[in-house]
Amino acid sequence: MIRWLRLLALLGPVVALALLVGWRETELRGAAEWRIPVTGVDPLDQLRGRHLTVQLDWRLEGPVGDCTADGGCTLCLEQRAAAVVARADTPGRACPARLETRRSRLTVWPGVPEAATPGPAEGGPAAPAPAPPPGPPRFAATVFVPEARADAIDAALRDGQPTVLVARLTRSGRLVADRLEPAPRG
Amino acid sequence: MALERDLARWVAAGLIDGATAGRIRAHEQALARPVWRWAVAATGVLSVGLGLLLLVAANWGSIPPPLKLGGHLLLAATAAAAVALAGQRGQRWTAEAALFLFACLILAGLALHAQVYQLAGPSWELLVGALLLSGPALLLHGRTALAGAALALLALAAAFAFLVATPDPGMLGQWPRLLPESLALAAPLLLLALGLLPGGIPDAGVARLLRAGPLWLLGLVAFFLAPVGWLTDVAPADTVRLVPLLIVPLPAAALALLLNRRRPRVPPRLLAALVAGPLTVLVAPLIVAHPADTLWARLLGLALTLVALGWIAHAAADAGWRWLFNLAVALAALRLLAAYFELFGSLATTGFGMVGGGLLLIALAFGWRRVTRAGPAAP
Repeated sequence: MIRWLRLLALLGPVVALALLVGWRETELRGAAEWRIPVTGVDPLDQLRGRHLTVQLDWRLEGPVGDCTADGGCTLCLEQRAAAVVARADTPGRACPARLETRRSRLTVWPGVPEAATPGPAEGGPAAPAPAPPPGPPRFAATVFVPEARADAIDAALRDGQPTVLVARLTRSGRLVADRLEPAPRG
Repeated sequence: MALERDLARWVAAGLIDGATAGRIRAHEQALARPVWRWAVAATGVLSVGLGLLLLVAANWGSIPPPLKLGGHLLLAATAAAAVALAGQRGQRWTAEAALFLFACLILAGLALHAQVYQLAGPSWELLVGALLLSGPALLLHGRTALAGAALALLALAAAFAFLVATPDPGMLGQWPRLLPESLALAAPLLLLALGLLPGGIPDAGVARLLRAGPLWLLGLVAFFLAPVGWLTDVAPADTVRLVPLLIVPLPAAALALLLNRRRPRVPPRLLAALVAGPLTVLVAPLIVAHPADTLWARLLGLALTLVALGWIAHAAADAGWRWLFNLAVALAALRLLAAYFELFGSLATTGFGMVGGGLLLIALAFGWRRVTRAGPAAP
């Protein structure tokens, strides 16, 4: 018994790693490729080792809900001309490209409140302005970049050059980043 | 040369005569090993290995992912085969080195997997994955302290990484993270219980290192967790909410005590110190209400850590476990050094911290010397 356990302890991890690779490959086989525009996050400190955090520059549509909560949220991706639209997954409306933010390990930041409109300048003390509504949440992905291209990508994002994240969206809703590259011209 | 000097000194002091010195000289010459020649050869092997690693690293981007993944699996399978073969042939250190390499390759394999498939995530997931995959091999094939150290460090690093990944101290102890958090807190005590399992550990080397697990965590806690725990604001209402975090540590502590009672492997007083020390340091910031970031809270955390380490050192010295005594004292000294930096804030507090800490270190060194001289031999 103990002999078999000892053998399993050595073989198990190797087989498990091989199965993990097989599972990932199967998952990616039927995945559709998406090119999502991105911008840099922190102009001073973008590269963390060889990982780059980029903000997904898509257009949000509809009430996406509280994407910052632990469970994340579900979005439907749509390609409209050159733009990528991420809309709320509403019942009764088809969602051919469903993205799960939690499964995709996207970082979600709460939206920045929009600037409050100034109150009346005259006529006594101004009534306290209502709290400005929060802006839409922002989504970021972390991408591993090869050392040889890291500085070029970093510089491109700093200079505001249009850049896209090439990623694949699996049927289970996981967005798997592949690479960052300059956005096609025009 | 050193032996010649010693022999001359001993003959001059009348401890041995010339004939005995000659016999000692002949005996030592027969046992002499070409250490320097081995050192040169080992440096060469190390240089070749590092050179190959650098060559691979320099071209990492141009190696296709399937080749990376396939090459890694081949290396891991080779290391596993080496563990099995060397174990069968009774080549203890070869098997142990291969096992250590195997565990490193499993960890590296998960990291490679994350790199190839762009899996972002907290570091604890990687460490827990590596622990689950390579832990059984380290436990069942480990024969020396190396495997025990690898297993204990992996388990403690995973627990530590998980605990510090809690998004907000106010979220601590909330469902569904309660159980994993409790499990992470209990890691040193679970390692201790594992080391005391009858027949569970095939070799005393691993068991010995596993028993030292709590000390390593105590070291980690002393440096990182404990100050953080005291820096956060814990209101009286929080203390009641955080008590359920003890759901795993307390039974783990009881299990360790029970196992040792049935089949004593650690002197009871020493075990009490090993169980209570980490438990106190980890749990105190959770259950003692304190305001955030105050000097007294920091000093209380420091004092508790030093008392726990002192208790372990004292019990270890009494039991004759000199290696454990040395480890506990070394950790206490490191903790005191870290305290200098914690007290930074103004020149006066830094000066006060350095003078106080320095005096404590000197006292520690004197006490250490006394116990080391007087203490019995290690088991």
